[in-house]
Amino acid sequence: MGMEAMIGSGAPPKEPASPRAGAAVSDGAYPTAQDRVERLFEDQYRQMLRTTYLLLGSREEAEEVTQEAFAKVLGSLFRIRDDERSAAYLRSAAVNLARARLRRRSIWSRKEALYGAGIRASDDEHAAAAQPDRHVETAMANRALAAALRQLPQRQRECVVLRYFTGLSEAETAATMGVSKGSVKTHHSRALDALRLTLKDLS
Amino acid sequence: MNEDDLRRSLHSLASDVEPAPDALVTVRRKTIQKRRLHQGVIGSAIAVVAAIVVLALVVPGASSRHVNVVNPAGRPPGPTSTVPAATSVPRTEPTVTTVPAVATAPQTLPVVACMSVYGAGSAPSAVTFGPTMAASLPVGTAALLSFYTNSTRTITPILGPRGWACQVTIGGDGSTDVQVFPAGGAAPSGSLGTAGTPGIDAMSDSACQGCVYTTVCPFVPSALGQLGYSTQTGFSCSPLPAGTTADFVKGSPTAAGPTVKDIIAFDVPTTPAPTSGLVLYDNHIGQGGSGSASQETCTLPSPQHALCTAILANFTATNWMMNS
Repeated sequence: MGMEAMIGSGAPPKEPASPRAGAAVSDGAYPTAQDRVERLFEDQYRQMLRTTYLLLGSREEAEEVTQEAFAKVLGSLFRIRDDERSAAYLRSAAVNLARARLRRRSIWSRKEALYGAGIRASDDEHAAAAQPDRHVETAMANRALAAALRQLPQRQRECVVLRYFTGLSEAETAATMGVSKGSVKTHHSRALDALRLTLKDLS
Repeated sequence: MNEDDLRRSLHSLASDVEPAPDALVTVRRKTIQKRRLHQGVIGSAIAVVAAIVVLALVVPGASSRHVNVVNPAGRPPGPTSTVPAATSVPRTEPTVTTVPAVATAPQTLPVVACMSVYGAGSAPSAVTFGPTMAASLPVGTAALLSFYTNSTRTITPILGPRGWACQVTIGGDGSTDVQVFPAGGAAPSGSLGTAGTPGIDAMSDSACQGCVYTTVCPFVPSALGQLGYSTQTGFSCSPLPAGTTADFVKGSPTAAGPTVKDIIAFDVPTTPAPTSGLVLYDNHIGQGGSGSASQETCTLPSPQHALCTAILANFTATNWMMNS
């Protein structure tokens, strides 16, 4: 598949990952607040769950962290007037909680639990042999990428996930990670170099 | 392969990660737990500070106790204590609060639906209250007030200053908390010990008899027995904040009967904004039912504090969230 060739050097283009903006607010309060809660959940939960999954490598922990982040944001939602800020707050909360979670465990000692979805997707699919090569190839590529992500330092992994999966700009990534844009550039560059090397080794 | 491939690969890697079926319910439950924990921590911290302040005042001059703590039962202030048996509580004659005559007129106010968290996991579906509602209010106050209810408009609305933020929490046991507070400000905790932050907080306890006891015990020491609990039960009762004054608008601290209905008005001289409040307490034990209680606190800076009169009057008039 030539995984090493997949990494470019330019900044990723911005993807429209943000939710709908401009929640209706009338009478100075929140007549549509419940709608906003439901909508925030509908718009953001799956994306946030997958983001935390890529950061943590564990489906169960991703679910817990995402739920925690939502509970945190829902507790403060009345103070946040627009959905864009809610989503940004949610991202920061999720990344911070994932970071705290990683600090509490030794992620590398639990490799068997990491990226279970990707591994199961390939292992469980015994029919893969009967499927077109593309299916197997995708599963192998996912495993290779999962392994490469595992080896990235935490900040570099956050940078890659937020920029390439969540589709954040450099500034948004910096705000979410709580670092400067310069740091994001550094993490981004190092992460791509490391991924390129790892994927080359794995390919 | 390029950056687009990396992007596609990351999406592919996470593509089969789907939310748990009960994710939204779990999020709601965690939100409620988080809020309660937060309120508990703040309440405890303030209680500790208050206890230290009271000790500082009492200990140096034990012979001249000038601590101005008044409550209907005439109990001295102190740390959280077990309520004595109903028979040992000194009786206090009810005080009838004189309400000055104020010209009122029917007014139509907007009803705001607030962001709501439902502990039971689903929102009540029946729509009861429309976008406006009429109330009899002191002349000149209508433009300053709005009604606030839950997101599905099923909770009896409470009055609050117009244009404020609000949130509603409905517990799995039916307990309800409606909070109205300045936009951008913090929600009031409802705990009397944390009074002083501008906001309106209306709480009802419904099926939770222990919660009913907690709400009314500072005013009705005999509530433990009235609610059918043994006096040996290990329930504790937090004392009223220092300086609190309370009057029984209706009922008395020790009144008992088939159906006891108490209306207790109280004031807490907190700064920067004073707090006024009401407790509604029904005891249906004699009829084989259960007790219920609601409490509303109104904390507004002195210039606007007159609005609390209208807000609390409406709370009483609607017999807010009481069973009868």
